Amino acid sequence: MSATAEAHAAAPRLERPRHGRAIAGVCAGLGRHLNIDPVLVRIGFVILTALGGAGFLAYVAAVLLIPQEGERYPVAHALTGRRAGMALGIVLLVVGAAATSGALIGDGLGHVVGWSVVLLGLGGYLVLRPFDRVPRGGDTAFVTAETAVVEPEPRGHATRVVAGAMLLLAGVSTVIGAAGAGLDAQEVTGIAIILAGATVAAGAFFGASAWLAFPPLLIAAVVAALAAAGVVLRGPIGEHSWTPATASDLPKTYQVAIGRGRVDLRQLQIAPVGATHVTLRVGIGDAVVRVPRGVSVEIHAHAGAGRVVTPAGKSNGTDVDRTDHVGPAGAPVLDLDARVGLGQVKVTR
Amino acid sequence: MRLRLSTLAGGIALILFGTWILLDAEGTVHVSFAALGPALAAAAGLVLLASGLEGRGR
Repeated sequence: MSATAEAHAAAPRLERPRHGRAIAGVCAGLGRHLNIDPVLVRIGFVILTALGGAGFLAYVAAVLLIPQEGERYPVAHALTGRRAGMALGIVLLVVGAAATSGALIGDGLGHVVGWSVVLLGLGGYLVLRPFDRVPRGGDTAFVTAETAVVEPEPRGHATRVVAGAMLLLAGVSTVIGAAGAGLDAQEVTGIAIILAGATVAAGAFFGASAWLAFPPLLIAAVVAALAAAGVVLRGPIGEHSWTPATASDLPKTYQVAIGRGRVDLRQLQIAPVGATHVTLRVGIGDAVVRVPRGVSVEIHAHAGAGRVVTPAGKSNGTDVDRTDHVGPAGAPVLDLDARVGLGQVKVTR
Repeated sequence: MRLRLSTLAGGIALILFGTWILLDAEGTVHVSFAALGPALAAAAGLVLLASGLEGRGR
């Protein structure tokens, strides 16, 4: 008996059983295939769903990709044929690569752990899953454990293994980035893209598909565009407002990674001597500052790509810089430094 | 096993892009919008050229 046949004999075919299912049979099928209690699989899905919804997405994907008991092909195949599988694979790789960066800027350990588990799990499954032979029209008998003399399909197998390896690397990069290691999101993403490239290049010698390069290349283009715009994804995500009243309330820098950072300085007591410095950084989104009247405001505003609007005028384009002075001379000085990578800086009174 | 040139070209393009992004993060080089368009076009051209050469060899 060949190794492949032994693998088939050891592990039942991955399918969604018609009996003993709770919802669509995904957990029951996985439990049977992996020879573990389906309850444990269900707990895993529930935990992943609670940690940001990844479990729900994985369940839906599994319903589409795992065939029902007694049927040859999964739902995805029935919908539009083999192209759907390829499209789904590309989407999965894009999501995996995006998650590598996304996990680095998301809040909370659960977010990182959830994505890491999904990426490592899917990648490991693709790499380690025994190779199945897809039956074709004209086959007189499908392969059984006893008769399995399977001709290898190196091209398809290499593509799957390389895709799995890339997801594994994305998961490892996510973990390394989350663990700190003194690397910022751009450095981790750059390393992940290099590793993905090396994996694809190695896969070329085993007949892997060139389409594997597309998802990470797409991510590389997006990351390079963000780098060109000078986007720094530090700080929280979402809409954040601050209304400082005294100089001691001012942090060194107000930061928002993605979203809107709004600083209302109208209540701020400006020092009569010297300058009061306020710095706002937004990676992607809007940096909005309201300055008080009767104060001399030095505005230094920058948008990597987007628009800068101040009481003195507005500019747009790429690498937009404006330095404006508004307010009466001789009044207390407010020194404002507002920068956004992609988006808008808006200073109003 | 036969080498797939287009896949190799895609892998090399990725390695070059990743290195560029990494060097920008380190401050060694600067990624600019002016260079990004030609770089993407060059990457796509590299893969298409390799794909064409691959098809001619069949």
